Order: sequence, then structure tokens, then C-alpha cells
Amino acid sequence: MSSHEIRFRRKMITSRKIGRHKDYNDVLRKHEKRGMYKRILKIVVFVIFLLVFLYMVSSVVHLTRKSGNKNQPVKEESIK
Amino acid sequence: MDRNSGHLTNEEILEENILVEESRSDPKKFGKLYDRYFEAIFNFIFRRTDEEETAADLTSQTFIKALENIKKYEFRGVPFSAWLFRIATNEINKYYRKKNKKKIFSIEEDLVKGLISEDTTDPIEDKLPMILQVLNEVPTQLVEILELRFFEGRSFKEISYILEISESGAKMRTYRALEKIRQIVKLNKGDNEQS
Repeated sequence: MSSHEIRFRRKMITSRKIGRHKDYNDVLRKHEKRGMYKRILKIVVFVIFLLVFLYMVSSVVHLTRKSGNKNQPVKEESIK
Repeated sequence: MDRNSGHLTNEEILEENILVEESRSDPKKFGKLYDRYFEAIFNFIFRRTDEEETAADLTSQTFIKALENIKKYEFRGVPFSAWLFRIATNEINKYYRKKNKKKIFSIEEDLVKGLISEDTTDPIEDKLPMILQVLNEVPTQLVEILELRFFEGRSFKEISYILEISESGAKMRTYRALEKIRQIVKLNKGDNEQS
């Protein structure tokens, strides 16, 4: 069985009928809207990336500080 | 010259390229190309869907995609319309994948009659049901090529660009499609004669 169906049409669709669907302003509007969504998406992705990066940097700083504290020699006074 | 058929003179191609260049920086300039090719793209999609509203949606989608990607467009020796037909073909394929239904080819009877009348003196009306049956038996890929070649009037170079295949591949597929049709017609004639 084929994966298509052929139909014969008696009439061609008229230019007038096609013209009813023609609206370049609508195309432009949708294009601008999509452009805006894309820009917003880029900003959101950038912010997420920045937050993740900052979190990683702060974790590394925190860990190095912690390990620095552990490696410090214990003072005599504190033993007494 | 009929711009919609894809046969343009060198001057027309040059003029079109200037319009494309201008559209890259100013989307409003793209309106001229939209006006020029809207009907051809609509007709092409309508032949592939047989639904006016769907054709309108997909045509609009095609032009939005074209506008979005016009900066990436490169002239490859075929008219700009071939690029629009390529986007439209992708949109149609996406539509059928999403809907998960059989592809439809809705062809005007007059176009079919025009093609057959060159080859036969018999009454054309009698041949239509047989042609319908034959085209239903030919693989979908080959029907796509036949539609672009004979109903859209595209050159092999344009067909190869639209379907993203080589030019020799486009010629080969057309040849195979015509050969397949000949075989099916022969088989049908043989069956009719036996019965």
C-alpha cells in the first residue's frame, strides 16, 4: 500500500481566493514576535549560565578556604 | 517571462539578488519577494495538502522561516523561488510527520489533461481513472519529483536544490518514475486484454 493519495481537482484555486490569505504585515508581526522570544530566550540562557558560573566559583572559593583552614598549624595557646 | 515558473533571465536573477540583499538588513523589503511568490508557494502547498486553511498556515510559516533565515541564504545558480520551495517542502514534510497521515497530492485535472493530450488522440476523460490508479501505485518519492517537474514546471537543477539531491539523482528519479508508470500501464493493459 502506498503512503500517499492522489486526488484530481476539477478546478484550480483562484487568485482571488488565494489573495484572501495574503497578509505581509501579519508575517512581519509574527517574525518580530519570534525575534523577541528568541532574544528573551538568549537572555534567560545567559543569566542561567552566569548564575551557574558564579555558584561554581563561590563553591571553589569556599572549598579552598575550608581546606586552607584545615591545613593551618594548630596554635600552642589553643592547646593550653 | 513567468517568474513563478522559475525560468528567469540573468537580469531578473540579478534584480532578485539585489532585493534579497536589501531584505537582509530591512525585513520590509522582503515584502516585494513575498508578493511575487506568495501565489506560487500557496498553490504548491495546496497541491500537497488539499486544504485551504492548512495551505494558508504553511505558506505563512514558509515566509516567516525565509525571513528568519535570509541572512544564511546563498545564491547557488537557481532562482530565489527554489529556496522558498525547499523551505515549503520541509514545512509540508514536518506537517505530515506531526499529523501522521498519508501524503496528499491534489492535482488539477486540466493540468493532467494538458500533459496527456500531447501523447494521445484517444478521449482524455477515459484515461483519467487509469492515471489516478497508476499515480497511486508509484512510490511517494517519485510522485514528488513528477509533481515538481511536470506540474510546477521546475528544472532538474531546481528540483535537485529543492529536494537536496544531486542533479543526476533528480534526472534518474524522474526517469525511474516514468519507467515505473510505463510498466504499470503495460501490466494494466495486459490484464484488461486477458479479461
